[in-house]
Amino acid sequence: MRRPVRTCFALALSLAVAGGLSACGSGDDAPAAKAGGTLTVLYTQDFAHLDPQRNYVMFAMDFGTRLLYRTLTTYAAKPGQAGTEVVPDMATDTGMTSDNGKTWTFHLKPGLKFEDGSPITSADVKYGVERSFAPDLPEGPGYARTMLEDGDKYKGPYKDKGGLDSIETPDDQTIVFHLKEPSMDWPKITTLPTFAPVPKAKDTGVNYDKRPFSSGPYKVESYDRGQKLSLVRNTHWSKASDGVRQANPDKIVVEEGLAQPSIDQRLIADQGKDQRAVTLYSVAPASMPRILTRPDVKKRFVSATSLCTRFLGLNTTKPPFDDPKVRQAMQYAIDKEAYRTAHGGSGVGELAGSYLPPAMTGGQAQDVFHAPPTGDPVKAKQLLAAAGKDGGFSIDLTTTSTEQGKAEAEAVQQGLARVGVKVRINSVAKSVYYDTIGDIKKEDEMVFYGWCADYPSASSFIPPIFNGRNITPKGNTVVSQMDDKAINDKIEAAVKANDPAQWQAVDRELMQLSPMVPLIHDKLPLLHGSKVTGAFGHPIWEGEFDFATIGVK
Amino acid sequence: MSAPPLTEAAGSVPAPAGRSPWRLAGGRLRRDPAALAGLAIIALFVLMALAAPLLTALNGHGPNEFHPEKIDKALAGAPKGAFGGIDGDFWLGVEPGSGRDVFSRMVYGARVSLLISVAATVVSTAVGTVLGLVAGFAGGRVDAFISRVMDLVLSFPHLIFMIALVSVLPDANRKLELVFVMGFFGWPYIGRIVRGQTLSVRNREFVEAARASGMLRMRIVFREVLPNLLAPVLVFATLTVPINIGTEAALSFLGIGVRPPDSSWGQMMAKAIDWYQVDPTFFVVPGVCLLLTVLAFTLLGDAFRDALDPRGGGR
Repeated sequence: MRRPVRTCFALALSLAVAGGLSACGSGDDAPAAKAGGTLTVLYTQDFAHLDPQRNYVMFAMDFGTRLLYRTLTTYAAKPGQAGTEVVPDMATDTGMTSDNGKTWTFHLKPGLKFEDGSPITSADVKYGVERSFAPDLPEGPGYARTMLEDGDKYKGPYKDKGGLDSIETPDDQTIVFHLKEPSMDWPKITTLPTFAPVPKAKDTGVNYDKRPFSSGPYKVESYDRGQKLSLVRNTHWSKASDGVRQANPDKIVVEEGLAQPSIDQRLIADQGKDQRAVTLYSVAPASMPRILTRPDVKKRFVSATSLCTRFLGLNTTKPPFDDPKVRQAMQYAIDKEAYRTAHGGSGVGELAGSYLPPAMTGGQAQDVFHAPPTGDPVKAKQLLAAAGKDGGFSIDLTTTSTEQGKAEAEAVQQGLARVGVKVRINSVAKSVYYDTIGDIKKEDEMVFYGWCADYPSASSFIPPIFNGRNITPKGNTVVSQMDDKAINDKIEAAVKANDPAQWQAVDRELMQLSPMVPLIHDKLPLLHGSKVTGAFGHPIWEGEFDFATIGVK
Repeated sequence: MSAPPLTEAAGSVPAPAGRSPWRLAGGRLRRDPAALAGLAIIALFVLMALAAPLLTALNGHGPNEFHPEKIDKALAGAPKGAFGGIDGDFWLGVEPGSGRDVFSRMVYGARVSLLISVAATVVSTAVGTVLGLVAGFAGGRVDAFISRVMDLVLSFPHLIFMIALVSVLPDANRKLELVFVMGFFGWPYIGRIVRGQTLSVRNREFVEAARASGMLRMRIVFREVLPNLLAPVLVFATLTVPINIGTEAALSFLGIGVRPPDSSWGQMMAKAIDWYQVDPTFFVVPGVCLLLTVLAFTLLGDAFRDALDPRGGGR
């Protein structure tokens, strides 16, 4: 799922892990975490959603599931590949199936409690999942809706009092899911905040966003949206029942509505309470020189490989990109190095030679066309000439109206100017960016895009953005709008086989069709204060700090 | 006590005959160092803007050419070298992130900044003068209507409305849109001044005489009244240019200025604000250009006012 996060197109959900964490610093300050103190989290805006069933932005899912609500399963609180391991959370194990993944049974640990001390039962988990079906709360991931039996008919607990029969709760500690099709990915899907418990009596519908009822180690003390969110300890949470969350700080305060350069400045200066502060999302490109050139600051810099890739989407319904040869020429024409420099420099991602983040295919990065980092204008011109476009052409490129968005667009523009392609930059506000490019009638010829897998499997990366059967008129995620029956069938076959080698073959084949130009595989650049402990980028949530282990000294 | 001796000069003052008010003003301007300094700076920037292609041919760098060798790609494109990468080849350094030549962008930016602000001034002055004249001369309902429209436009929070307008207008020609939006919000200021002056002039004897001689109203307005208003209009227009330069910079700064990759000084400032701690030089260049231009137009406007109306408090 993508969602406008700080600058561009960072999409939202999780990704799988990528090769090792590139531990820029912070590896050495992992002394025994100490409980106590106040952690300050600095952010530019408000969380889109903290309601667990509506939360579908990567770093907010990390924040929510590590601090405010527990899920049936979760990911290990470890950097690098180890962080992609699914471990039990509220459940005693990672799920049992006796029929190859069609029916899944979870047992809750004993003694789990909500913030008011009332016990968490399987009915609360079921109710939470049912909420995600409510048309009023549409923002969350769609897996429960599409994978559970009869999920397409159920309208959520507000309209449909009977509940969803494909989730059974034989007793207070047991929950059983019946899927439409067998899936061994289900334990990964139950890490999503969709599977957080919500007590029916505390459900306030759309207003639940303002005051989610805690099942995790912290509860909301006060929440002034856009200004400040204060979390204090949930005294009914017990560490004994939780093998993942360390819950080190006594209090966590999120300061919202700050400019990213001033967040960076505060963390670089490292004064007073900012010593115990972290940035919630990536630092601004212009802050990178000040961080990387000062050893004392660089020690506090974290950038972990994530499972996201950024692309240039080519609208295949409009000339000239209806011609695959012209699209292939773009693979050579784009200056990816200039793009990455504008995006924050070589520390914020690896140049991408294909779509799939390498960690999803066993760490093997593929480079299909072997174009040099700055592109190969000569080869691009040959391909354009072969397509009868040697006279060049003009296209529109959509970007965000931020300085960074414009700088990235200019980098693409100058690269394409070398092969006679004129690019007109169409900058739109960040808040409407995805609505604009997701409207298939209004979409420009070329758009910036990005994707993070929802769980570490190519099944949550390739189909949502390449299977033409997922094209929707609004809120479209297949921004190329390429609907090629042959490749759609191959994608669906690969989902069933779930074999990395087969996914790599699909990846290569997609590159030949070139519905998008891969730019970089992301690393999220983050900074923390000098008295923050346990801060590392978690591979699942876009490389965001893992709030399960973070603490202050 | 003896009477003070008469000075020679007292007896030999030249007869003040035969010089029109415009020539008098011209003489005063020529003796005003502030006016001359302002004119010189404006002339310099105008020349620079006109000669932009020649100047960039001299240094060999187009305004939109990337120079990756001049920036450090590991550091998000921070310029290599001191003072933003200034050297014999890049006279004012390079832009962070892309390595574009700051000098080339500055001279091309001068074109955009000066063109837009002067054109917007022409629009607001022309509209304001015509409507002010009509309101003042016609009086009655016409005056009431035009005056209320002026009040209405004046009461808008300008910057916010400009942002809204520029955002909703179809994205065709951004420069033209900026000119008209800025002109639209600028005309009532001059319109009110012209209306007031017209009111004071329209009952003067020479206008009565023209009327009595059967001159057409249009002719009276443009031949008799308008020439008497030129001095305040000229002064006001000169002082409007720096305001428009500032507004264009502000709009570019807020991200609704010219479309990338075109440069303007405001666009350069907007980019520089992120980088000022790493690369202050990049901030100084457009800042100094804006400062000098605004200062020059302000000096010139003040000097015009003093020269055309010596009774004013200026000297």
